[in-house]
Amino acid sequence: MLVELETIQRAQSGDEAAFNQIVQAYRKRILGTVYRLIGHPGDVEDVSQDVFVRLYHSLSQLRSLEVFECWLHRLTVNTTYDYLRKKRRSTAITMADLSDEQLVVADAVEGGKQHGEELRQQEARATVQALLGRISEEDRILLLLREVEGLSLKELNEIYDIKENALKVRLFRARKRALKELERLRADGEI
Amino acid sequence: MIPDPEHKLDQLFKAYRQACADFEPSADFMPVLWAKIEAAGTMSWLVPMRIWATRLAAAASLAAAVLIVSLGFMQRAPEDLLEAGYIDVLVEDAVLASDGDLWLLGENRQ
Repeated sequence: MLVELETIQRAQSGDEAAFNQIVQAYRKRILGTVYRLIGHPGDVEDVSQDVFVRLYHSLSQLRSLEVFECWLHRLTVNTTYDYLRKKRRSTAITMADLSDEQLVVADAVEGGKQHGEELRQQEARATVQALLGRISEEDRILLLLREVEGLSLKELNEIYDIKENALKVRLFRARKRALKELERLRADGEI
Repeated sequence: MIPDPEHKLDQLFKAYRQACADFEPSADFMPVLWAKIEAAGTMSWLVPMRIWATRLAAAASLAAAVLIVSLGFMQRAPEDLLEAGYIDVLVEDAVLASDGDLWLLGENRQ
């Protein structure tokens, strides 16, 4: 736990300073989760703030303080999931983001300015974003939740509200489609 | 040896997870957050209002439907009444006429 249970308790009773403490302790983690799920930096802060707004208004409903982190993670995933569902992805914007990322990578390779690890990370981001840009919205969200955020089947069930077998089939098919697109990306020389 | 594509996909997602681990908040993260919390707080009274407005609209629709159906029946009712009245009048006339005949018969007997 990044904060004391007593701080959560104080925040539950309306102590704004305690709530500030919670935000400051968890905001980097929340921003990271939202960033991985959204895939571009544009709305990360906005969605993360929405997570904390929801937290502020629902914190009093939390009965067992020990599960706070788990609860906050679910709140983050649900808020981001709502955002992704609402926002119909604009291909133009995705492509623009993608080319920026790829340009940075290309520049770095060209100039040899960047550290190897940083460059590898940018390559990973560019590759996954290129891949995610080629699959459907449904597959993208499901794969991000499962493969990047590491949500269990039980946690996914709570979000999707479908039978576990149906979920497994969906996951299997999403992975197959992602693999096919990955091969195409390689064949097209985009990665 | 050809690398397993499934494994490659897993590795790719793992690398992505690590590459997107950190995201630094901007300087106005907290002020904007509190502005949003306050805005949500002032707007929160709108939520029950919206619920009541929805219920009111549903009740009004139901009342309007009931009124339309009632009016439909009422439009039919005068005809029924008129028809009934007409029959009643015919029956009454027939009774009167038969009474009159009886009266006339009685008068003739005298």
